[in-house]
Amino acid sequence: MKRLSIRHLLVALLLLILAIVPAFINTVYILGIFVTTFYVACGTLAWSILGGLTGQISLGHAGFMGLGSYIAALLLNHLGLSPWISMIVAFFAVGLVTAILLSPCFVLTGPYFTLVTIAFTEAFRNLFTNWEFAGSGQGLLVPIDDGNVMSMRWISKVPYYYIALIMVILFYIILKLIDRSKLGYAFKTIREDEDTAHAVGINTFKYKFIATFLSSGLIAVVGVFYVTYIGYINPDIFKNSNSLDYVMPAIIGGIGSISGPLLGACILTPLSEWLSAALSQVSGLNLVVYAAIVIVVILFQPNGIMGWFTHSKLRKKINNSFDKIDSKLFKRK
Amino acid sequence: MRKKVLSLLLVSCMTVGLLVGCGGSGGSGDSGGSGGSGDSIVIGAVYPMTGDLADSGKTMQQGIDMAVEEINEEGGIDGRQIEVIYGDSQGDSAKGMTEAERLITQENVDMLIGCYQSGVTLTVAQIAEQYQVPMITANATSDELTGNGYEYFFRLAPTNMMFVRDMVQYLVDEKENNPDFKADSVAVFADNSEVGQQTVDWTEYWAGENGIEYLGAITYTSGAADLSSEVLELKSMNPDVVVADCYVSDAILFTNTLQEQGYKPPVIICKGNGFTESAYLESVGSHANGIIVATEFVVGTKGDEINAKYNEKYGEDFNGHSAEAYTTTWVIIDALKSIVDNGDEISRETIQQALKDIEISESFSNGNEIILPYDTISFEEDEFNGMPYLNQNLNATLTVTQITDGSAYTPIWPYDIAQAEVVYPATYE
Repeated sequence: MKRLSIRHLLVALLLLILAIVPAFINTVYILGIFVTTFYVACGTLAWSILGGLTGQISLGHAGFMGLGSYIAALLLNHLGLSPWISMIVAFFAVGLVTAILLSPCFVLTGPYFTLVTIAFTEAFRNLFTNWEFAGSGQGLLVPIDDGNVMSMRWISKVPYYYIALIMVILFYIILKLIDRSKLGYAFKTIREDEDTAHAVGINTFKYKFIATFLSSGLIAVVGVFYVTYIGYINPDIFKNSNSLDYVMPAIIGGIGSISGPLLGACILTPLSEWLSAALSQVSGLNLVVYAAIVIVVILFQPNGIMGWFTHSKLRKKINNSFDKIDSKLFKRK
Repeated sequence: MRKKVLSLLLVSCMTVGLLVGCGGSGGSGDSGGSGGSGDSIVIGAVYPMTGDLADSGKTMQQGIDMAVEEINEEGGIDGRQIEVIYGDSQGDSAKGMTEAERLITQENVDMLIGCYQSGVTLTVAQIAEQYQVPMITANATSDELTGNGYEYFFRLAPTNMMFVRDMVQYLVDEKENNPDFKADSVAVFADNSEVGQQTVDWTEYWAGENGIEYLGAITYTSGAADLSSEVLELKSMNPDVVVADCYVSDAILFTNTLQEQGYKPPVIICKGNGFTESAYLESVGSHANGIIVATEFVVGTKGDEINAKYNEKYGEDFNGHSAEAYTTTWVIIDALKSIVDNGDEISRETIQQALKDIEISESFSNGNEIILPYDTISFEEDEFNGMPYLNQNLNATLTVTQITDGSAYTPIWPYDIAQAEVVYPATYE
């Protein structure tokens, strides 16, 4: 058991600050950016299970998320089922459907697997644009039902803030647990070298199945949150460009680590919102600057921010100073 | 390292280049001061300014900017200038929602204009309703938008129901006038998006009402790479009239595929949409000859002076979208004027009330005529075939035109403004 250290105190402090943010910020717009950041972070973390840990780059996560959104919207509109329950339903349903449908493609590696995930999403986009029960091209509107906790539709953003915050913490813990477990080691072995994994007795099919199940199931939960937050869903969610929203933060933050994607989302989402507000006089300027920043980061730090930080002197310095504080504070050697 | 420095240099060159390019084209008409400064009346506009719909977004921005410039030159409203702050929806519902929230809570806008796509408009209208900010759309056509009972949402544009109503009405009138003109059966060719599907539904309805046989609909996914099997299917149905509704890239592909397969439907009548974008005729030219297009604005029918001014400013004629955006802005200006005339304070509440009460006939307060095909604008409540309408401009009508010489939209209906007789059957050459 590790002893209490300054790091734990800092994390606790951060969480405390995040928990009381809504009390001090009453501008809806800023709170909205927090919510967006949180759910993008959740999506990125979910993507990381398959893309980061297992090394199977998926560009279909917007699709898995869309499935979750549709499940929640349909169940709420037709059966009155609470999105809270839909989160569980979506996790298992989407996780299983995706894992089963993608399982024949687990033999594919690298870009070939990526292509399949793109096709996967596209197929579902066509399905939902033509499926009348699901609103076809017109999509589904989830009406506001203020004050009813079960329907998860509020006017205020504060409830969404807390739900999203709790989701980020939960997702992070889940990923940390996976990362340190036998499961995580199997995933990472597959990522590094699939043949070796096979040789040392890791059932690659089984573990890819589990990774896909967890990854798509979790992002489907984000999808449920998304539809209750936005209040409207149409087949546009299956567009491939949406998948990139969850891949980019991981790339910038550092693929393969757990904190990287989280960090990436916490930097990129506010950055893009801030740019679009600050540079609103000239349309498109925000995207240009955003793209330039992203290109520069990828150029100079292909391993992402965390990839650089892990081996940097800064980290050593921070570690040393933390240790010093620890030794003074807790009288440790 | 050297490579990296080189590529960094390239990136920065690219950035600067793009910035210069953007600065030239996208700069908004007015001062560019950020934030709702104390004195001006601030209007927020949410449109796709980037992404694949950026062209359409820009067109509408031009219409709005020109109207705002006109009123500001006149001295504004009660001495206060109007300022428009744009939000970029990037064509995405979630982004549109955040932008609307930013405009409402950060920029503190008095009202909203937008958006282009019906899906994004639906999300933003919901936000506007929550914050009780009046919102008016110039060109989203989905019927459902005014069917949700939103008190703060207004629409100038004709809905899909009204579009198809006028298109079918034209067929009926033409049949009466012109014994050669055959329109006894109809099939629909549309994409399977929200708007396309409504076109299908309303065509079935209006055809039934007018005793025209409805043969069915061929739908495709927007952005398709190939439409040959769809066109073959259409050919096998052999309708007298094809009703089409496509975005511009699909419209081009559709026209070219007809040509390749040598299929010449005697009448194709389409909703303005992609068939009126300038890129359409540039790409297909005379292959589009004879195609009949229902649109919100036709050059040469009304508002020549205003169009000339617009052309001088932006180097192109009004199209349906920019004409509607321009008109919408003038409706807002007149609503604001009426508030001031009543001696009230300009606020979200009074704007909502003023829009509800407004009735404009023939011309606006500055004497300019309404350049759209109808002479009255007011926002009313009604119900039609089970679809409720609230705050919808039910006076909206359309002009039916025919493409001639691969370059012009010649008005052929209503007959009092027609400049030519319909060419039947269509030649496509």
